Parts: sequence; C-alpha cells; structure tokens
Amino acid sequence: MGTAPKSLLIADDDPLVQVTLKYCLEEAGHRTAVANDGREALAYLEQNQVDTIFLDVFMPDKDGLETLLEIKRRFPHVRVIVMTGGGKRGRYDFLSTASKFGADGVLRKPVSASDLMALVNPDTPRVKAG
Amino acid sequence: MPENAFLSAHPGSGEDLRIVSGSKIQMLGLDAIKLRLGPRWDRMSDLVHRYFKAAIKCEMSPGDTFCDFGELSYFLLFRDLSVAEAQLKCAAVIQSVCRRLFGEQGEDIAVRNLVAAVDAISLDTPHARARLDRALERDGREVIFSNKNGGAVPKAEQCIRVRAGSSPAAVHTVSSSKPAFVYRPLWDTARNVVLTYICHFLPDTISGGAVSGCPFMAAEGEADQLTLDILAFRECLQRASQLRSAGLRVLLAAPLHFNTLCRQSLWAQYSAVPAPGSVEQFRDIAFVVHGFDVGIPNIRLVHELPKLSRFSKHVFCISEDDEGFHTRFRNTGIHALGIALSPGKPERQVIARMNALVRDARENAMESFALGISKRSVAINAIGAGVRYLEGPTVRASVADPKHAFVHVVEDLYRDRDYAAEERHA
Repeated sequence: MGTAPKSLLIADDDPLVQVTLKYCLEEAGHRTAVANDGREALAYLEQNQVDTIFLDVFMPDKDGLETLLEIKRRFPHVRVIVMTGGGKRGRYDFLSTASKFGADGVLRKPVSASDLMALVNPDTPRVKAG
Repeated sequence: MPENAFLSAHPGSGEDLRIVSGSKIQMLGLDAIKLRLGPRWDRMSDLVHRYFKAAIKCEMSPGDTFCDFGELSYFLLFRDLSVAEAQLKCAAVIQSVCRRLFGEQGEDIAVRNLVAAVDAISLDTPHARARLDRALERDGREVIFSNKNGGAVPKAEQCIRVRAGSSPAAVHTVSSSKPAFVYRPLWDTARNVVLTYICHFLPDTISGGAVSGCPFMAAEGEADQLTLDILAFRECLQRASQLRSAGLRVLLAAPLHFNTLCRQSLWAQYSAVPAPGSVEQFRDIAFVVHGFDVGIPNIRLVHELPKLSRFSKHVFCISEDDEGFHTRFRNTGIHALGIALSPGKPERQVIARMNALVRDARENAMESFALGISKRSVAINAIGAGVRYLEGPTVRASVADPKHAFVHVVEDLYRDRDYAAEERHA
C-alpha cells in the first residue's frame, strides 16, 4: 500500500521502545529520528521538519505532557501522538489528560503495529484481518 | 538529697537546655540545669559554671573563642569547623557536664538546637549583645546588628549577623522569634485531593534551619530532637482541634524522630504532652517517623514502631533517597513508606529510587509517598510509578489558590500561572 513516506520523531527514554518503534516505522518506509526526552525532542523540532511525533508521557527533565503543550504552542503543524504504559501502574489516566491538552492521538503501550500505522496515516482506512 | 534522687522526683523538667548555634557559634544555656537543680542551684551554680568551663576548654582548639555569656549561657566561636563538627563539640560539652552533675540520668536532659545551619545568632538583650560583640572583636570578626534588609529593627526582633573576615559573603540572618510552623500539602494522587499536610518548622525561624525541608534534620542530638518533636506535635494537636471546630477534616502529619520513640524516658515525656484522653483526640494526626540510621537493627524497628498505633492510625516512615532499605519496614505495622528527595540529584536517579520505593511498599501492602518533589516532570513520573502522596513546591504552588485547596488534579500542574514560579522555586 503506497503512502507517502513521512518524517517521524520518537521521543521516549526507553531504548527498547525506541528500537521497536523505529523498526516498525522504517519498515513501513518512513524516516525516523529518536529523542531521549522532551528537551531533545524540542531541540530536534527546531532544526528539522517533522510530520508526527510519538511522545512518551514519563520522561525525565521534561515530561511528555509538558512537551506536548510546548509543541502545540510552537509547532502547531506537527501531529503529536502521546503514548504511555506507566499510567496503569499509577491511578491516573494520563492519556485522557493528553487528549485534553490537544494530542492528535493516544497509544497505550504495548503498542500494536496496526494501531501505530493507523495513527501515522489517519486518512488510510484500516483493513480488518479476516 | 542526691542529684539522682532529686531528678527521679522531678521527671521531665519543663524547659530544656538551650543551645543556640551558628555555623561557628554555639551558645550553651543553663536554664534546664538550673531548673533541674531547683533550690539547690544557688549553692551549686559555681560548681556548674566550673564544670562547664572545664568541659569547654577541653573542646576548644587554638584560635577558638569562648566567653561566659551571662544569663546562664556560654558563647563559643569555633574556627574552621563545619556546623556538624561544631555541634558535636557542643554536644560533648553538654554531655560531659550533665554526666558529672547528674550521672546517667543527665542524658535525659533535652537539648534544643535552635540554629543548626545558619551563620547567625539571635540575641535579645543589649547586655548579651555587648558581651558577644567584645568576644567577636577579640577574634577579629565583624558584628552587624540588622534585620534581613539591613535596616534598624525593633529590639524584640534584633538579629546579629556574624561575618567572618575570610568569607564576607557568608551572611545569613535569623529572627529571634520562637519557632513557627508551616504546613505543606500532600497530594493524594489516588483520590486527587489534598487532605493531608505535613508540619514543618518555618525555614526562617530559629529551628527552621535544623528541621525544615527535606531531609528533616541536621546533626543534632536525640534529646535536642525531642523538644522539636514535642513542639511540632503540640502545634499539630492545636491546629487539628481548630480545624475540627471549623468543620474541616484534614490529616496533619507531625515529624517524629526514631530516637524519640526508642528512648523510654523520652517517649514518656513525649506521650505525656497531650492531655490524657482517648485516641479520638489524635484521629487527625499522622506521624512521619524519620531518623532511621542504617545501624538500627530490624528487630528494633519491629519493637518500637508499633508503639505509635496507640496514638494514630496513620504512621508514615521516611528515609533519605539514598538509603535503599525500605524492605526493613516489614511487620512494623506502619501504613506508608516515603523518601525525602535531595535537590540537585539527577532526575533519572530520582525516578529510579521512586520506582524502587513503590515496589517495596506494595510488596508490604503499604502506600508510598515522596517529599521534596522539586520539579513537575518528577511529579508526573512519580504518579506514573504509583507514588500515592506527593509533596513539593510544584504541589504547593498548585494548591496556593483556595479554589484548589482540596481538589487537585494533574492538569493543575500545567496551569500557566504557576509555571514560571514553580520552576524558579524548584
């Protein structure tokens, strides 16, 4: 299925998540870059054109929600997908907060490849298996 | 009557031996000794002064300054010593004198360390001030009387700033007022409310240098600690009563040093503070026990900590963030485990410690809490890790608005109004 390659940024402090997402997205033909926290992500956005950023909530130095707010203020054209798995360990639903803060999509870890692709290409209809 | 017998007949004398200390200054008050000696003071005072002078001379080094400060106090100025070292010397002096006067029961004299970490000392009489002035002049030091802004101050609030010639920038001032308290909010992240407050000494009062913030304590002796614990407990009881009268139900957490709990005689004094009554009186009081040295055997924790359950259904234990021994609190009957985070530590380390804390607490069916959360991102990571209660400037700033005094949610952390102020505070 031919979709235009996009420039994607993965912001997560977990190396395993970085590698997994990078593999899935590059397999689909997209260009990816990786940031270890919110500050690095914002620094990257200042220098590069990015279509979509995958943003983890729990990161040191600058967390995902704070980064989300700043991206929406400074780079409104960038789509932001907020993801987390840690929220379940606590008692607070961070993904609903992310939606209130203007996230274009949310993902709960562990992330499935189909969900990931659906969020990268929101206009492409999802094909149900079977 | 021998001294020991006299003391047995008068347990828990009211005022404590006062120490006013600066980073290089110690002032040893004799009030408590006088009180304990009662009518015998008149004929024993010379002996007490002699003991003190002998003990002080043993601890002095060349270049240190010492004078009889009058009004039942001594003034010591130590050169080239840290606060902790100066306090240790001071504690040794007191211990030596009390042991000579009272034998083993002299250890029970409560010592209040009024200033632990400031280069200043408060004085309230011209006579005492003049003596200090002369002592400092002999030592080649500059003495400035002023308030924090450098202006003239009323007598009751007079402060003295002591400036060493070698480090003119090292100047702090403290008020001579009595210890005051501040209540810091604990955000219950499970219920999104702030209904628990931790009692702290106000940082800019005399005791504040010793016990405010996190970690709670500087290096003081345990008897010294007892006085502070009692002050905080009294304050909490009084405030809880006021809040109940106003129809508010919040939990006030009073700091309590583990040594206070362990020393039977000290504990007797402590437990005697409130008027006799039912446990109902303490239903709005939580204890935040701290001072868990790594050398304390586990069996002692199991033996001592359950004592508190007679007072409160809320017993929290707290340690420094670099003491990874939360598993020791198994079978102690406490309700929550916490850490006091040190400012300036790498955020990744802080987050890792909080994760370990939550794991240990959950394994033992306890809640977890973290004090001194200095940044919003740390707060968010703490909530994600499952920390139940949070305290720090971020939370304080968010509940400063009366509208948010009780209800508190994650979104509140991101209100623009608080943003810059929080970061500056942190």
